[in-house]
Amino acid sequence: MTRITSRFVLLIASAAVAPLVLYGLVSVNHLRSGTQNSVTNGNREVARQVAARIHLYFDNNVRVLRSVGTELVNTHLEEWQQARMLRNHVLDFPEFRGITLFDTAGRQVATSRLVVKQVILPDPADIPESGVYIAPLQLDQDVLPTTIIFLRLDSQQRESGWIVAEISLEELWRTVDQIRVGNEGFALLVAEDGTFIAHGNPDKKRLVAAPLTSSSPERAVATELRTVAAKDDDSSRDYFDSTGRKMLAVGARVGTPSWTVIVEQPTDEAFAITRTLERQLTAAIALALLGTVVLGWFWGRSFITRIFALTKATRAIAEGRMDERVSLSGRDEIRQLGDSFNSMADKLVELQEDVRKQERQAMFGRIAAGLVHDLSHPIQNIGNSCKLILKMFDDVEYRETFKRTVDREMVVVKRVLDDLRNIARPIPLERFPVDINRSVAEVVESMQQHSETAGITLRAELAPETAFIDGDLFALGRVYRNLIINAIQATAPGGLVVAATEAHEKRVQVRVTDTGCGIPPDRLGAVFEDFVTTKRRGLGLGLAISKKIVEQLGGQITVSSEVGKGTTFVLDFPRTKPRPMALAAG
Amino acid sequence: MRAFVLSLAGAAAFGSACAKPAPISSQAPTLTVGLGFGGTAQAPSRQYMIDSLSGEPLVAIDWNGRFQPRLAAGWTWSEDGLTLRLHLRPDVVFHDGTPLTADLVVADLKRSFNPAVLDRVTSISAEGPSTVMFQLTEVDAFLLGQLNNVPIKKGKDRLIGTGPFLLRSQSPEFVFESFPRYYQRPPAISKVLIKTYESPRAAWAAMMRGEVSFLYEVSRNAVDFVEAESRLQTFSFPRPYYIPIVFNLNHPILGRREVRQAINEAINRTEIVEKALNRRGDPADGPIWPQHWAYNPGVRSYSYNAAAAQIRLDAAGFPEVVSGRGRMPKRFAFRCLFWKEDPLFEQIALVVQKQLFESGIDVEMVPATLKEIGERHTSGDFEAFILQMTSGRSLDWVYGFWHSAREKKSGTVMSGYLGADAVLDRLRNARSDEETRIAVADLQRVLYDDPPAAFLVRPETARVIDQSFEVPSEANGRDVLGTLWQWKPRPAASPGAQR
Repeated sequence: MTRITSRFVLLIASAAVAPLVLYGLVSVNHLRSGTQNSVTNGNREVARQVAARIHLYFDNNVRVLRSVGTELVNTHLEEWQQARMLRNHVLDFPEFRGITLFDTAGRQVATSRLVVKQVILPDPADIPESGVYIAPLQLDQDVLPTTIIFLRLDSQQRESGWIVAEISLEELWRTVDQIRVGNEGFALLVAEDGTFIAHGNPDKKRLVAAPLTSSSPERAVATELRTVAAKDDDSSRDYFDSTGRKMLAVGARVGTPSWTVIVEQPTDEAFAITRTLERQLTAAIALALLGTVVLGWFWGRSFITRIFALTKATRAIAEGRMDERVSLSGRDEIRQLGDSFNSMADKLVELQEDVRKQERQAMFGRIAAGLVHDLSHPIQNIGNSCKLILKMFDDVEYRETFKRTVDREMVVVKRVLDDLRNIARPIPLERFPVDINRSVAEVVESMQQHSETAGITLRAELAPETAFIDGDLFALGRVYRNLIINAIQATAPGGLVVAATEAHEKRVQVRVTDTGCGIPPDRLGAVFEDFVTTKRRGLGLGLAISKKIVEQLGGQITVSSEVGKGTTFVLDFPRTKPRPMALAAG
Repeated sequence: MRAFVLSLAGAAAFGSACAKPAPISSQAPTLTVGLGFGGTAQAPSRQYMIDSLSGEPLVAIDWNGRFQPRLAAGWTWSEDGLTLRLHLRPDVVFHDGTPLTADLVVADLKRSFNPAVLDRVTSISAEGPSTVMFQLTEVDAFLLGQLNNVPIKKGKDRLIGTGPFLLRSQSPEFVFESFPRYYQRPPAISKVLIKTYESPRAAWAAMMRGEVSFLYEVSRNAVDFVEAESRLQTFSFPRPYYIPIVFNLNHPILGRREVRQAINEAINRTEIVEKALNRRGDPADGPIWPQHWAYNPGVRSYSYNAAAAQIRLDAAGFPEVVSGRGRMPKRFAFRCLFWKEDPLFEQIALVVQKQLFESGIDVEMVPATLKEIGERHTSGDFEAFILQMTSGRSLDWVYGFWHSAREKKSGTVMSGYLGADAVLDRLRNARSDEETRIAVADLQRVLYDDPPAAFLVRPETARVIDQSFEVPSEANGRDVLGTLWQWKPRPAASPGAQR
């Protein structure tokens, strides 16, 4: 990914994606906590309503009893009438199993019961101020809960007896059974001692039948919530029930009696809406993100693609493919940049063509000048000799001189023509292991007279060990001679030219160093180019051909120079093994 | 990306592997029966349960009172109706492997039956290896019904039967095992345990806790709640019982037919069903099983009409009078015993008392134990009593309770009622369906015109079975106990099995 693409993506992320994600996280979090609180409060409200209904149930029963009792006491009915009245009430209000009227001394006055059942009035110390005492819960033969309500009757500001009713709490079961929160939320009723009075979940009714000492997750949470509800604390509890399902439980106190209504609902149902909303919100945010990214991608793509096209075209131009152009769509600045690029490329081609023309002209000029320079002298000499031979044809000695002159000048011409030919094509070389020390030493030896004539000391400094390179002895000799001649020509009399060899493990080097005038830095890079020379004579192909020979032999040639101090040419070749003696002998 | 897809695929494969259905349990399927004693559920229920599991009678009675072959594959009556030949099934063996033979059957019949019950049978003998012959002094249409009442067993204590389950042990609880050679087919249930509890509540509590898979009986007050439980199957059905107020016709007032008719009119049976039976029952119009094939629903029966009752009582010379301070105005009074050990009867007594009070009849409801009531009704020392009586699905029960001759012999109810003797005799002597049907209709009329009792209600009962057992559909509306040998454990993976 290029830097601009990275930056572009980062721009979209910071400008659009990051705020959107942050908003999403905050929204989801608030939604979750808000709806969970709402569900919990809703369930607690249901529990409170059920508790209120149960309280009302007891309250109503107490009212009925009080009404019956007062009527019985105040109307001075006969015993059979009182009994009849009580029995009618029992038949009309099925929750009353039996009602009995007692006098202040605790003697039974009238009863609805046909079967005598002993009733023990409560200890006065246990009776609240209201005069209503509700006995602890009992379970009857059918597991249905019953309790006994003791109501003190007061007539004309004085105690006038008791009315006692055994009440079946079957109606409470029905009330609890009817409570539904969602599809799987139920209510249950727990007595003050932890007894399960009723459970709305048909599959958990066994808890009602289970002994108080039995343990279960439901019983544990019911105990907790009883304590919580007694303190009017609004806490809820999450727990795993005996089937392993996570439940949300809330409690509410009935008051009188001191029972607790618990409403429980599986959390996966209770918070289903929360989860649905979360999913919807997450989906909406994800869609928005996706939309942002897609739009950004499409827009960015159009932007970056054009930049990539420009980059590619620029590279192509740099690589020399001058015909490369860009075609950019749009009407913006990028398009203008593309048009400018195309104009620039067109101009570059023109300039390049101009430069080529000029260079071609310069090169041809140089070649022509070199050829004229190198060939005019031998041709002039041959011409002059031809003129003389016409006059001195009979002179045998002159005929020999003529022949020698022509041969000599023809060699020069041939050499110039050979150089020209060699620069254009690979130079034919015969490769075989060459003793570098020996090859250098032979050339130095052969050029001693030349160097003495120029007043320059020519010396060979050879490596102590013998080293071979894979080379052409003749071609290498030409290279050494060329370098040494150049060094001699560049060095003033009294100077020094050294041809040295160095042998390394895998490379062999030949150095030709002089103490001449040096080569200026601006010309150093072109010394190996064709037709480049500082001399008055020559085509300037000597170093070019030397470089070609060295490179064909797998080596490389470099130059370093300092004006006024001298120049060093370094030939670097891969070292090779000497030819086996048997081959050498053959 | 690839790695993510591969891990998802791996998770799916793992999940599908984990979601394979649970294998069917390799343990023997065991049915645990909970029997709670108290009220109308007494010790005889246990014996009935035991006999249903381990024994079979010669003849069965179906839901409509028809006789069906059981150990007897068929029967033939002689031309004069005085000889009955029962032809035994050839493929029946006792639990000890002994084949069922006529000799064994004869021996058990002689040992089990009270001669007073088979009072028209002079001899029981084996005619060949597979025919049992009864010689009678008179035609007896009830004989086959009587044979239904006793399962054929052998052994010193009559513990070896031919039923689908054989008794393995009796202590600490009754344990039965599937009898592989049961002639119909071996039951799918391998073992049956019978656990008894001191009350229906305790039995029901055991079921709620999962200790019991079949509750013999659940009280009417609790049925509503049990029916809502998804893991339980509730089967309610009318029991072959009825609850009457039986009058002692020797009472100077109750002996008068118009008084008894007025009492029948003054009673609102629907209200009794509503308030005392919690809508789990039906009004009764007589002792005959309403599903009996011969029962005639078109015969007139009593409906609630307090005004008519009062008019009838006025006409009979029983006006409403005030008899003194502290006493209710009334036409007449009588004392009625009721079974105090079952709260149902107190409720019925309360309702009846109120209804009769509104017509000016003062009924003193006297609580009594079953034993007390039994002693007093067999001695005739009562004015009226409320008790549960068996109607059965055959007509011999009706004869047994309401024929005066039977009273004297077996000492059932000494009510002094003679009004139905003639028609009951015709019923017993009937030799065809037509004769039976006519006799039944006449009996219904007689019991209407001269009622020996106020037939109040027919209670319903319910049996509860865990969803882990599959019950044949033909058991719906009928006593599911009769199909117990056909119950099958539900596979563990099926939706109904929730234990």
